[in-house]
Amino acid sequence: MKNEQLHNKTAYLFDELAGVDDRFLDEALHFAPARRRTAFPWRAVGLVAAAAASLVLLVQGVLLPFLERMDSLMTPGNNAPNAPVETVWSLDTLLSESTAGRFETLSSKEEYVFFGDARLVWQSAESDTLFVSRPLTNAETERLTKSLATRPAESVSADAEQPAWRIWLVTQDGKVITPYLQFSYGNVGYANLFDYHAEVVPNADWVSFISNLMD
Amino acid sequence: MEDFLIVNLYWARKESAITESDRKYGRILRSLSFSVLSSREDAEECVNDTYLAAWNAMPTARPDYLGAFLSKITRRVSIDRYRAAHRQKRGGLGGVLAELSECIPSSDSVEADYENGRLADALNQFLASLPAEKRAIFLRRYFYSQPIGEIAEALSMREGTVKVTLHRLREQLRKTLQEQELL
Repeated sequence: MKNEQLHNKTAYLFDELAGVDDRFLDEALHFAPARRRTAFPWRAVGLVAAAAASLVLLVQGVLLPFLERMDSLMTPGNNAPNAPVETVWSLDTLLSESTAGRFETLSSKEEYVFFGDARLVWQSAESDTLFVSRPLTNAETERLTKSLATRPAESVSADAEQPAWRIWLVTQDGKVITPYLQFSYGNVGYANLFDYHAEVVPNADWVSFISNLMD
Repeated sequence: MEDFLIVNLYWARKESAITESDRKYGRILRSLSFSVLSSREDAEECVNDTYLAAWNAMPTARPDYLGAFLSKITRRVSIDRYRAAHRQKRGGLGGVLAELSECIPSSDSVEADYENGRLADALNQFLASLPAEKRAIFLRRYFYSQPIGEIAEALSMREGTVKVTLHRLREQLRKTLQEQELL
């Protein structure tokens, strides 16, 4: 679709919002959130247990074989397919350990984020703090974008749980790339972290890259 | 003051109708207009135009939801002024339009088939399918053009949560429009 056509359609959609039912508009204007539940979070406990079980399966099914293979490639003379892996990393583990004061931080209140070079930026769902990696090399940026290009975009249900971590790749010219290789519109020239695909599927290449970044 | 009482003042041609309207909705209207125009002076003028339009519309009109009625006027006036001035600033209306462009299904068609009324109906159906909180987030952002921080504060949510919710709602709307072959 041409840019002008997209712009016209977007403007039309924006205009048509004027036809929204007045009840909805009035409700939105006066909406007050219900008191957040303070009862024991059984659902949260169940979700954490399910996430932990999923992570175990992921580690066993994907990460371990990948790390074994990487280890065998990086250790001269050690090409045994079943060489022991000393450390098993999960994305959640890596990112939680990244909060140990080793990385530059930003407040998410900043409207525009532009570094002038490529960076990896991540944020915990529990905090407004943004963590920023060191500048990425061209090879690293290319590696990350290529690994993303192999994965087709997946829609996320509106009812899905919030992700524990959010990750963005900010390029040298200020474009923001989500893990699904979707450019954030209107961000050329600056990086705006208002848009992304929520869930990060921790594919092995990303985990391996972040592991190296933190070493 | 309740909406119906303020409307009664308009019908009775009492100037206090304007005062009461401004007391109850003035901040929201100025904020809405400013979000579109990024100019306090222009926003103030648009809000004044809104009250004039409301004064001229009532009697005959008797809106059930005065806030929505005034907001629609303010929005219309502000958008018209924005387009007349050909402003393309980052943030404000530019930012909102950029987000909304994601709701447009990809299409190779050269000629768009704009069916009056169908899109508005589809939007209302989409909104009706949402829980009240998500509906409020969507409309505060794309009708009232409120900044994300302001939405988060009003709804006692984190900004990140608002952003995630908006993203998913845009995706959901895009699918809806695609299924109904709109846009």
